[in-house]
Amino acid sequence: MAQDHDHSHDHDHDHEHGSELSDMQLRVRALETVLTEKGYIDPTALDAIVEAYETRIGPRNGSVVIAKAWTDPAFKKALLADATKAVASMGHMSRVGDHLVAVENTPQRHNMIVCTLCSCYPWEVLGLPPIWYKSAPYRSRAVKDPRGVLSDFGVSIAKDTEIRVWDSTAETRFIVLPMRPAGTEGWSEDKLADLVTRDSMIGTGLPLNPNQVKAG
Amino acid sequence: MDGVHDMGGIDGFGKVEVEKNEPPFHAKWEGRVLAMQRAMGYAGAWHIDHSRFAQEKLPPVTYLSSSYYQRWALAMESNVTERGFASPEELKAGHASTPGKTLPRKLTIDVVAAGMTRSSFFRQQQGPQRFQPGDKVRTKNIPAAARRAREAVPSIPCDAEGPVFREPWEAQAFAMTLALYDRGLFAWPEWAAILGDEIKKAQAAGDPDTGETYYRHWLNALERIVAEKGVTDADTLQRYHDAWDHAADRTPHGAPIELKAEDFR
Repeated sequence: MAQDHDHSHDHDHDHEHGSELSDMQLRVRALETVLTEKGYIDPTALDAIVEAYETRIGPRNGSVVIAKAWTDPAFKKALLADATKAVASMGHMSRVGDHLVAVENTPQRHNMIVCTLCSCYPWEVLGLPPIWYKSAPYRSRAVKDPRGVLSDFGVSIAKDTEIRVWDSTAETRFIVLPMRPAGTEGWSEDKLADLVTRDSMIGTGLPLNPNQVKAG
Repeated sequence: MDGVHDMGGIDGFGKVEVEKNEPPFHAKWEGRVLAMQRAMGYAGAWHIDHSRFAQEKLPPVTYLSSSYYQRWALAMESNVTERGFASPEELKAGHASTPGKTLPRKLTIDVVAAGMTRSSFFRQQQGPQRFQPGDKVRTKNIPAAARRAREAVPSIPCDAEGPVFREPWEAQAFAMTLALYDRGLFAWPEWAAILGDEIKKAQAAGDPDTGETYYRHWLNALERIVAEKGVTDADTLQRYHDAWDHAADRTPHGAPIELKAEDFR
């Protein structure tokens, strides 16, 4: 099992034989062995969960939802009324845990999402939250200095546009419905989805412009 | 719970650093921790609020200096051991020495393949709805410990903002009581009984019972409970009483009063 050495593990010292595990690797292995031996968990199910997050559950799920909202006014209306239900109607991902709320960007208002207490985030539509979303700088500053945070991302929003920040809870999670970029008239949902970045659905970014993606 | 995890609005954490092309997990153990958490949640061992509470209980220094999945792992260790799913010795040894408890369900590969639905985070309404959307509300900041004390000891003088104190020493006595409660020295009914007894005794001795003397009774009860529980005794309290008196005498007016060895004589 030497192959799953932690990448960040310190290899500066020499060890002539055997393998070495970091403190966290050892503790987590101990947990997994004990919980397995006790009959609470099945390691093959854990493999499947890890694999799902590494390969399938990511922000593309959300991009497809946004692209549909851009092209289908009835879907957009349904999404803003009850995002949990609207996303479920698309059937391409697992049920969203309880309340998903879609907040719409307009020329008058830009939305951002945060979880000041921890890391609540709409996993089913966006995948696992990035490290910065769970970091102290983002959690502390997003609610106090959202424009400053946006400038860390190289994003600037017009002065007279209101910025609204939504603080997530376990029960209520948010997704930003960004504004459809100009110059995309007549585009297919699939092509539009390529413009929808993860950060644009968190509100720390904007969708790509047509000239930022390869002509398809 | 008010703690270091409640980060909204705190200054000084610096710039948001974005990692380009961030992988889902930075080490294999992180994925195992996430998956174990999901599996234990599915099994009904504990729910999301237990997980978060276990993180929030971490010492602030640990919370701030641990990575995200380290916090998850530490929280899982405490949920596993505190809820009796395994002992600390078993975790240390890395092997189970007794069979596990029975849990309602087990997450198998078939369940995962059928769609990884997260268990519901929905919470039943806890009481009648007091406000309508659009109502103006005023929030007040009552730390959780003080709120529990108020619920357990309804006689505590309060206004809309929480407990009120006439003098700093009253707040000190109140805070010490909360701290001792948090350390598990006594249960609130026990405290309420002793406090009630002290109030009764004072009334029998002619206390006017206008509320102004409430914290005198509180302090009597506090002195009594620390003695009854063997934290200290009446003689020691008296020794410190006299030492503080001596320290006050030798300190010029306006200077901070500090206790020194020479005050104990």
